[in-house]
Amino acid sequence: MFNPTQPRMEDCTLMDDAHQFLPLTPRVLHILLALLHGPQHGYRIMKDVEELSSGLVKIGPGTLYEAIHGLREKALIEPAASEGDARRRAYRLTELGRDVVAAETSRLADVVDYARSAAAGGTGTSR
Amino acid sequence: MSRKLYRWTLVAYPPSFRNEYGDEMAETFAVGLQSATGLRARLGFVLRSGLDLGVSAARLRLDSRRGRGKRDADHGFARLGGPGRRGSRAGGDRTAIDGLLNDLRFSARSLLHRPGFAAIALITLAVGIGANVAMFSLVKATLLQSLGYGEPEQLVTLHSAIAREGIEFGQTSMADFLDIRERNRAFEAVSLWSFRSASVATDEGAVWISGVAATTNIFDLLQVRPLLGSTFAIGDDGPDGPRNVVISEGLWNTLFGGRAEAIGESLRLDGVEHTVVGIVADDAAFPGGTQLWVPLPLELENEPRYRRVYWGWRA
Repeated sequence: MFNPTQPRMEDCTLMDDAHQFLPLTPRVLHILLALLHGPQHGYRIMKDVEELSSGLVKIGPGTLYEAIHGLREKALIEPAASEGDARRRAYRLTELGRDVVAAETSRLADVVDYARSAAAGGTGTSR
Repeated sequence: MSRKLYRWTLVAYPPSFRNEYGDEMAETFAVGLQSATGLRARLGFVLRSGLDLGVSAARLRLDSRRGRGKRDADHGFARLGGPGRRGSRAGGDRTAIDGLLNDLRFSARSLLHRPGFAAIALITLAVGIGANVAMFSLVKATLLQSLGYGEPEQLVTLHSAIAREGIEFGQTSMADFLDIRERNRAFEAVSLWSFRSASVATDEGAVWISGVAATTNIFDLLQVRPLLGSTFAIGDDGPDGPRNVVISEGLWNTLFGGRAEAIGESLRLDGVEHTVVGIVADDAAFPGGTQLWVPLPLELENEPRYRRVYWGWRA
């Protein structure tokens, strides 16, 4: 039986570290996704999260920086090189952060496959 | 202003967190507020940010008090995803409401078992709530509460600048007002007013009432309609015009008990008989707190007596 929390074997060789952070909540996943294309500052992240989720995930400055603090401590993101104004510090994904995004999206893809298969009356095996 | 207020409310957060992220959070809040278009969007953003601030600050305070291991749940990360206590929920589908309820349950248990911590938590909440109330009060006063005048966004105050004395917002002269009124092309109307408090005779003796002398168009300019009676008419400010006075709702209740018969009754201002012609609602009083208005005669010899400011009605 497919277990959505169980990493696939091929991922384990590359992302042992990454899998310990799964599953991610929608908020954290969207924050990490917002940083996939490069460094962003707080307000841009907030807007991207809202846009990426079609308005389903909305975060305020408090929740955003609480999450940023946690993500920094877990070394999933880091401050980008300063461009002057300290109030507009930008953040970027670390290598580990990218691995976590890849592992989570892969896990979610498996979940979706399983759900589709189950809905179609299949056996429910993963890809 | 909003950035400073928001920055001040961050006192609800643990000091280390505030020092690290306070400026960024205030900047993010300020940019977000600036980007919101329309009153509804701005108010929604302020409310959402305030609630968000309260919840995340309480969560971080609780986390720091719990003293949980870094690997478990530093500063709420585990609740947002990761290997922490709650991170094992498949799919990360916990809604914001679920999270809030879980936090409330955990908080209740903590408060019951640790009275000392409960006191600190309550003080923190009191500070946070107080800060939010202060911020929302200001938002209400500046963004939501109506001025009581028609189209208040069209009203502007004009001052005379006196460069040689370095005065940027100075009083103006009657002569200047008459010139401006004659040559005005920028405003739909201009009005002149000055403070004119007066001693009013009552059954209990004389009382000092804050008043204003204004050009007769002042109420039309402000689009203020009287609760009862009328306001000034053209000619009221003439040398031989009737000595009419418009009074506030509050003064009407105090002196006349709110009786409709007050219209037409006489009122002695500084020993001179005046006739009450109208009642104006307290929230439409201009300037705020004014209790009576008399016509300001447009005579140059009156000029040195009062402080004057123009009010313009932008075209």
